[in-house]
Amino acid sequence: MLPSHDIEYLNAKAPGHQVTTEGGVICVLVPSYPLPKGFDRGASDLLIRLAPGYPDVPPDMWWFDPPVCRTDGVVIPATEAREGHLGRQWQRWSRHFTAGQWRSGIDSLQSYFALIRNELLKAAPGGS
Amino acid sequence: MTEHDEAGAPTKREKELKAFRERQMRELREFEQRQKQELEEFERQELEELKEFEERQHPYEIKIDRTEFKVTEHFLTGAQLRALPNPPIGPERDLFEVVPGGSDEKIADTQKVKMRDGLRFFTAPAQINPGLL
Repeated sequence: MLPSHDIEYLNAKAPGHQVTTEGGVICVLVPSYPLPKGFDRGASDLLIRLAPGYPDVPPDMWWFDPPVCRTDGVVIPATEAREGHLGRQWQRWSRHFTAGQWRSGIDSLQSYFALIRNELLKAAPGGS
Repeated sequence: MTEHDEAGAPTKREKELKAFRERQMRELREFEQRQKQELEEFERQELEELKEFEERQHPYEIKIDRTEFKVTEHFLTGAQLRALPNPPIGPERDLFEVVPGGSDEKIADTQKVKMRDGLRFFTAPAQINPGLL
């Protein structure tokens, strides 16, 4: 189960979200997650998969369906793989924390969503 | 060519022009009145805030990463907020202000944030590494 502060966060900031489990993994699906400018669509469904042990175990990667690409055609690193989850094909954004980056007891879905937003801004044309 | 008819009475065009000018004047007066009211309201709020600042005797209670801090300053920069926890928040993490009902705002080190009770901040890893595929 998700910690109560994660549930509160999702209820406040991720309208229409769905939390399910698949093979022991908690799946958080945010429909029509709004994307920053510079991508080929304004929104896409966002999937986060939380391994058993979360929140002590950090999240790893995230997924979009439909796939998210830059408007200028430049390929975003480590986003070309496709994976099946929840009966759909997803674009995998392969992203990993190094040891110690995720602070158990402090980090949460709130910080992970903030990080995803930040990474999307960096991946967009003109992002740093 | 005169705009009056033979008897010297205003023509239809003159009447329309007069009505147009009157309408313009009325709209201008209403606009000025609205601006005056907005300015008065802004000044009233500013004075109230200033009074609250001057009279405030107790510290503001804010939270960073769910830990409570009491601060006496009316404004703190991002760098000052980062220095509140022990150990301080390092550059490997970003600082965000929780915006109820909106997108949480990333706070830059030089950015000034106005303090108020219940203000909440959180930190997040500043980056994550792309995989090989």
